[in-house]
Amino acid sequence: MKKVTQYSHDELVRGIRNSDRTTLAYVYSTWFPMIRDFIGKNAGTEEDARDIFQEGMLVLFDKVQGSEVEWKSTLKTFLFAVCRNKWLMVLRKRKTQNTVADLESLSDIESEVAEDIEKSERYKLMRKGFDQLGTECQQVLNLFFEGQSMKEIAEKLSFTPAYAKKKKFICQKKLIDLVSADPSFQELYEK
Amino acid sequence: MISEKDIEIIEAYLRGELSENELVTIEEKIKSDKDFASQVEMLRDMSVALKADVNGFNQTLASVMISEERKEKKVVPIRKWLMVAAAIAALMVVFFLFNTSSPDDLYTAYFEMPPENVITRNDASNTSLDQAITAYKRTDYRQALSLFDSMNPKSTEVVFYSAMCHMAEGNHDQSVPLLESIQGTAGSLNSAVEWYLGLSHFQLGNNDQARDILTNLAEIDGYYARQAREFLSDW
Repeated sequence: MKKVTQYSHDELVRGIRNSDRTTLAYVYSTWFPMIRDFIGKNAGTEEDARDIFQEGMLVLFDKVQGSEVEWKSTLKTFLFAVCRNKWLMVLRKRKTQNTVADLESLSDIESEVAEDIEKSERYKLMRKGFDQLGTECQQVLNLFFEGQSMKEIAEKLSFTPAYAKKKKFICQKKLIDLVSADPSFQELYEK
Repeated sequence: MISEKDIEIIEAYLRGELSENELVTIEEKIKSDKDFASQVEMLRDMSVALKADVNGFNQTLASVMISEERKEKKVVPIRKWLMVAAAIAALMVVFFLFNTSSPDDLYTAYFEMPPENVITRNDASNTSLDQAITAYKRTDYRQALSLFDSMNPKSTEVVFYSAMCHMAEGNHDQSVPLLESIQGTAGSLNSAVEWYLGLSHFQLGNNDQARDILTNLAEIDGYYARQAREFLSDW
């Protein structure tokens, strides 16, 4: 595994974006203790810390997909802020916030991560809808979002181009309907 | 209700391909029509959410956490919403530093039974499925198999787990046809199906078939592709 100083910001972004195993192993082994300590000091268990770490990493994964992301902090600080916010949400749900010692008020960076957390929640909802689609719809949309043309999609799936185009519309509409019908839709899309 | 034309216009808008007039029209509509504004946001999110290989990421991360913790001889409980990822991550044992010398060693290095928690319970009263899952959890694969067999119709997951039970019992001649029957139609399990089909053929000594399947799998993105690449390079 590479040493700490050998990972530049861009290398970390690239490694996380590509789900690179070595980068993720480095991230887990060097960043997780920070999350575990924070949650441990704030009414959580090590298992809670792992859950929150995984959730936080997903937000980071979604964030690094953008091509022109403006980073106002290091990735480690970003992850910590996300995990901290997420843990606060858990504590609020558990109604044990009074037991939380020493949780400072949210700083600027944390209000910024709130947006990233919400975006990641919307993607999660979209993926949940996608999982409920039929295989043919999943194939069409996967190929489409991979950047394949309708002609290529039609050829790959043995459709006529007209049918491929129609199918893509039907599948997108179905996905929009599924997402719109989800109980969390209003909170995430209609603020 | 969104129309085909709406989707086309919104996608052109998101790609920055609208003329100035069209741009003014769509931006006015976004301001005045709440439903339309949500549809624009959903299509924007769709293009990001479905482009990124989140399953591959979750699988790799879960697998990394397991293997890092194993180094410390701890068991990692994985969050429920990452069930599929964790399951698939647990499907494989990663022996990076493992120099395999025989086919059995290679198979053993890469094969591990997946946990049961990717099975969807559509029907809460489905006691056969619950019993099968319980049997599977306690590694009583014969009992699980007999319960899976009694279910009709069988979901893709049930077929997949029946194949897993056969593999656990060393009956690779049984796992092959089951996996073949759901090849390409198993949704999020598609890559897992290819992976286990490749391993089953490998165990049966059908080296050409195993190599073909794993080579094809290795060409796509995602966790299993990487597993297949590593397996092929260790072979």
